[in-house]
Amino acid sequence: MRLSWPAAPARPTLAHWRQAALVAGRRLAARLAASTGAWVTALALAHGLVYILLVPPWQGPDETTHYEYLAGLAAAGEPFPATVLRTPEVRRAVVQSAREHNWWFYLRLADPDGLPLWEVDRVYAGRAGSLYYLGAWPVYAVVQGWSLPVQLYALRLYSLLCQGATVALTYLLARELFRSPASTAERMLPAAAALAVAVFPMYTFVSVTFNDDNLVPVWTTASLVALVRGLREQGRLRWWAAGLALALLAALTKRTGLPAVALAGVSVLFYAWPWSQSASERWRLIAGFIWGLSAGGVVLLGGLVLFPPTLPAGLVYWLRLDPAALVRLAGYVQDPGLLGQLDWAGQGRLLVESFWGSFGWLRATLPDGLVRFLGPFSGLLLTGWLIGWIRTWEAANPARPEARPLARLGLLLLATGAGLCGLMLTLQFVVNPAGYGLTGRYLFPYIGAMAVLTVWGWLGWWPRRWHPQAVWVAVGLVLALDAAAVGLTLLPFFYS
Amino acid sequence: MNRRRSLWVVGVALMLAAAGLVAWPPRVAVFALAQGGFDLTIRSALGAERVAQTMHANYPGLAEIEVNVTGFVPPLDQPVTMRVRAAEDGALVREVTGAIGEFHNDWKLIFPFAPIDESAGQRYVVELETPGPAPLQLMTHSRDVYPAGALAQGGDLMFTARYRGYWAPTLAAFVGQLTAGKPGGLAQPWPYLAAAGAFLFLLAGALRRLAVAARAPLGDPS
Repeated sequence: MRLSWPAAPARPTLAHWRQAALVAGRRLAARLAASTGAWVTALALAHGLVYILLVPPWQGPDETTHYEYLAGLAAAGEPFPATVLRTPEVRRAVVQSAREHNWWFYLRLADPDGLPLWEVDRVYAGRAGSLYYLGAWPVYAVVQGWSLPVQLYALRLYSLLCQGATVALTYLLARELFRSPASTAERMLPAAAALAVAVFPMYTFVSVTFNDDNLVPVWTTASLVALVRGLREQGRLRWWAAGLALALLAALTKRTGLPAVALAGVSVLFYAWPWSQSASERWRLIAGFIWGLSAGGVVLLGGLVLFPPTLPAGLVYWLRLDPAALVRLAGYVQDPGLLGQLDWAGQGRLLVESFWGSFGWLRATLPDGLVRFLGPFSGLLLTGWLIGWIRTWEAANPARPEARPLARLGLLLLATGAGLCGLMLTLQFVVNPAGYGLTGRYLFPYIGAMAVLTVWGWLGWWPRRWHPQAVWVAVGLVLALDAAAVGLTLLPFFYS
Repeated sequence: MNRRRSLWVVGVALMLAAAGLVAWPPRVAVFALAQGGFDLTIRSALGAERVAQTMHANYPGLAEIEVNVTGFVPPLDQPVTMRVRAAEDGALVREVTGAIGEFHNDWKLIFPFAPIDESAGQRYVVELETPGPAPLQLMTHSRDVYPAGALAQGGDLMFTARYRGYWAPTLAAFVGQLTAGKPGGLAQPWPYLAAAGAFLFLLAGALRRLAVAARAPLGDPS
């Protein structure tokens, strides 16, 4: 039966509304079915749902702590309290539920049997700014009276929506960058990049559990979409403003969103610089800005080391500018030889493992042989970016008619973000008293950008005529990694 | 016509594969119970002093026990015996004996044996013994880190139990493990099947769209 809009009656009956809803639903479904981005987004949601079901309660990174924080925030009754208290009742309930779900066994620790799980009783203001918890608040208000695991599964569904949004935005980002594809591979790239984000196992694992990391990639990827659009449509201030606003939202969600603000700054400089007319001049400008930004960072850091500031406690916590870290940094400035004593190899391995697949509070790691392969493979992909950059640099030469520099300039933004993340990770490792710094999941706020860059960089290794096949290989590798993560790590670890 | 013929070929191939799985069921070596907790507590086996750990097998086809040893390994030609006994009555189920060098591999002793097909749901005692002269030093945890078993002296042995059961009973045991302790409808297998089915359907659709993008002419916007 062919559906058509019912004629609007003077007094609509229930049947009319039903018919109208049916038609609207059918049309929406037809439009979504015709959209590759919608398909891949739906795939991400289904894939995330599988992970939600497979990962036992409380096995997401710091999931117990994040839940306690949300409960404390709800108990405080205001969205931005100065401190959030952890209530003993909630803690007891979480400990009990964690015990029922073998939390200590998975962590290879002895069940404390009444010992406190966490030593810190208060959380400082830093997290109170997180928009992630505010988004989770309505969900928590609905499920508050239900059993703890059910509450957690409901909150995980909220996180899953963040992943779906990130995948959709990754597709849009790649579409913006390759709006007029010059090759078959460029045409395939948006779907391939979005698919890579949708099924990347470690990102899925983190993003479907309850963690304030999960809202950041939505803002950062949306910000990049706006900035790239701004680069494309020069003269339209609104895109730049939107990009900056979204970057600020990322920073308000978690400090891992801060590099997004720097990216917006790079974009602004390119956009607003009044004297640069040629593309090559703009390239030089951007490169100069990045170097300037790095130099400014070094100067700022040096200033902080030499003249430790007096900052509000909340800001110190949020920026992790604790005095001990500054003293440690001063030590490295005075004796750079100390840097060589740090366990760089161990940190590198941790970074590789925790980026590609280290589940359940970093206890369930991919098989050793696979990790040994993925380390050099990461280097291969990064070098692929470099090859792609050289090609793009050549294409940006205005003497070449095929140059499409504006569309590609966005890629520079993404690479800048990756560089900033690398700096952030290194710095954190250097100042961390335990000797180990950030794990790979802190790169996930930029997962959309990284996926586009990675598929694009992967192509850099292949002859141009093989690029379509290379895209298929990239997709196959991500799917194989996902299957290996589930079959060889997740299931054996949690269900043996 | 070609399409119908292809469907027939695929259908017959799938049926033959299914018949093969039933007639010659393969063993799957996916699951392994790992008690990885270690707090520097060492327990030694020497002469009459044995190390015995109880364990609960969740899967069929228990086929290998791996224990972690310290760097002070006895001479490689010194004999060692690993026994698997039924916890209920102490009946001997499997015994592996040989020189330590036969089982030693990088801080581990690995004892393979013929799979115990009926191991799912059973409790066993893993027993280690060596006549000497040097003690066999095993890594353990002094506290209870493995809820489903314990060392005779208290605490837990650091060990891994690997399974190599036939695929069908292994799958059934896996579904049991997956749904155990889950709230509400998640204690049933259908939500997991539905989610996996939706994922596979959408994956097929996404790959098809990627193929369409690969074939479309460049001027055609997707």
